[in-house]
Amino acid sequence: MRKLFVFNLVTLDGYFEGPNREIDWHNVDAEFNEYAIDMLNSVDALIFGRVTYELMASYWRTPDAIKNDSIVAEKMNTLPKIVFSRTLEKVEWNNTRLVKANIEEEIKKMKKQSGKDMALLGSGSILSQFARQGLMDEYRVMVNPVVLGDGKPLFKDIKDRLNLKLTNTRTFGNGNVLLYYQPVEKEK
Amino acid sequence: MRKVILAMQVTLDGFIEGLKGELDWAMKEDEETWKDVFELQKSADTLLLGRVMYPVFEKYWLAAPTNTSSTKNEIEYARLADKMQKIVFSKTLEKVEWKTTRIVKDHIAEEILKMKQQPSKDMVLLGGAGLVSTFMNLGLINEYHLNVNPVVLGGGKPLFKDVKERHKLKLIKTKMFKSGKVVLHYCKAPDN
Repeated sequence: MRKLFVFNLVTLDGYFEGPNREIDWHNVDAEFNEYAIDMLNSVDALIFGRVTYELMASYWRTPDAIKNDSIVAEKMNTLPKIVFSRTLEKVEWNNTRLVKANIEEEIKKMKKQSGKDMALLGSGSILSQFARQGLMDEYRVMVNPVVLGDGKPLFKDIKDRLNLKLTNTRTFGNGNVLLYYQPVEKEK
Repeated sequence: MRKVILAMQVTLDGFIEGLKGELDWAMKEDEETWKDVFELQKSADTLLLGRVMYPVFEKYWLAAPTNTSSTKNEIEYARLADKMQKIVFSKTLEKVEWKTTRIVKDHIAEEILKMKQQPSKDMVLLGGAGLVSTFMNLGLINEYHLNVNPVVLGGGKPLFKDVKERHKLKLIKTKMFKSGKVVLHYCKAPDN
């Protein structure tokens, strides 16, 4: 079955954004880009909530992104994308599908289809919802070597304890540590 | 120079306690954790604690050697802790039971900077969160030794609760335990 994983950069204090949506602390370099490309090659669907979708859609289509980060930009612009949102009216990013309702059913259906894995990128609230619904198969958390002191917690809306099993780690030269977990108990 | 090392158990979402003070996720009987704890204790000679945490710490570890439910590791921890100098930072605390504990009421930065100049072993900052933030805001922490436990609590007491500004760190060591804990050691980034 296709696996749904989430990939996120977080600070050591657990934030995926600063209080004013800052992501300037993202610690990225050539080794990170190599990892990002490998990851994008391993999936055939990218999943977003509205907030991350808007951020990504406005960045990856710009001439700057295409020039400075051509391989990742090409992947981001051509891979099939799904954005879950009740409020978005239309989507303009290439190869993007808008899903307005029945998120849980949609994900379950997609998991049963054959294909590569699916990556959820960013998105604190949709991640919490998926975790609660037992839809996440893997968590990839890249801990950046920084403490912000304030911001938006990655696992903000998780109310119940989520027990995890560490399956792998990778230490990057720039001080990022990538942690791979699977949920210990899946409700559904 | 003598270092201040923060040593803490945290969850993947950055909490040191659950909303009701839960600590059951910290896997107390993890042998690899104890081995690390003892190594750190032996490289240090001083424990630093805050006002809220200290009375609980004192009560538990003073009683541990004679408490019949103590494990072998706990008894060893109590023995080592007894020999170490303990410093509790509090404006209001009047007295402590533990003979090897000293109360520091004020001028934390001056006190720590003075102690760092003394030729001695390292100092371990044990918490709680309030003291950790105070130390970070004063720029007193040299190293961070965190054990990230494989759990998301969804709420609780954050380790870096009242940290006022961004702190860039440098990763110096990582280690994976069989239990699923990840050991992360950082020091201050040179450009911080």
